[in-house]
Amino acid sequence: MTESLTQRLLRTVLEGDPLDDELVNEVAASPDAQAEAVRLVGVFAQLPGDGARVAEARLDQLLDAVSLVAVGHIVMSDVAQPAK
Amino acid sequence: MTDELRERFERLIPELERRAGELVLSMPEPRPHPSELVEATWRVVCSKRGTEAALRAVALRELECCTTNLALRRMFDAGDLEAAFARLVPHLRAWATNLSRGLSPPRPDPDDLVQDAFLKLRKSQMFVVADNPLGYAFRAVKNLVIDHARRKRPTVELADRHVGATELETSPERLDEMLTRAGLSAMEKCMLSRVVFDKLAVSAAQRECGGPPGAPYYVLEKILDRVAGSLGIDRSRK
Repeated sequence: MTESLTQRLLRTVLEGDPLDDELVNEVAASPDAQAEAVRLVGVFAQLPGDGARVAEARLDQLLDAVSLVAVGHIVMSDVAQPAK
Repeated sequence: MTDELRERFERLIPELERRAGELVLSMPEPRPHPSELVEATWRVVCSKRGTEAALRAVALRELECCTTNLALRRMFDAGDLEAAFARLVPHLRAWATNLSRGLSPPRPDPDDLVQDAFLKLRKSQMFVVADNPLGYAFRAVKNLVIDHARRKRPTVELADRHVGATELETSPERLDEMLTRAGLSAMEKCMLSRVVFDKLAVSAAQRECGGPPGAPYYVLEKILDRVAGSLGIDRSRK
């Protein structure tokens, strides 16, 4: 069974593996994936426990890396569709 | 690997220089030579891992970013922070819109997030000297959205009163009640508690709590979806 993006995000933040470039690039290219990562931060923020705090922090770290790649996607799309 | 990447990059140089030639026309004098922008693009591209497979797309994106960063640094040097912010607005608004869709309603207006980011950037001494002011500004917006996601801790309404996250932290019974309200079974409550309280591996938590074998992250995703639903943090439908 293919893992959903949410499952891959959960695996990455809960297993403590190094951030995967492929996942960073995928999230950076997808507004839905960016929203999903933020939503998971919000869910873990409501839950108690060290595991939830670690997951929150790792998602933040992932989004830091995503920010630097998403810049390129957004600047390119703004060039293709200039703001009115 | 770098030699091979450079060879492939060199084959892209005519296309990149053509695009750089178009981009410099929108820059104030003195304009950089297109080749300077292409060389700056190479420095970024070769510093990034995982770019080999999509080199052309990455190089074109980084060329746009290098040009914008250079234009921003020129504006900083001229002391024209307002012009820099005006150039950043459409990019930051798009980024704030994407991220804020993951927040629970009522969501902050992306324009307000951008304005808040500018307030922070205005006070930052690092922003105006950063090599990558675009990336710095994107991180500022991301940090604001994460603050919203963390700050918005709605209390959980239980039978007798509202319970905040701090109390949940110290009261497994209250957590149990909250998870029951989310419709979780005993196995699902056990699994989530073992993961968030005890940092147990997801597959081990599933096994220990008597869950069916296999697909532990599928099970966890469904559990978190139900918790999110009970907290009003559903997936955005745009």
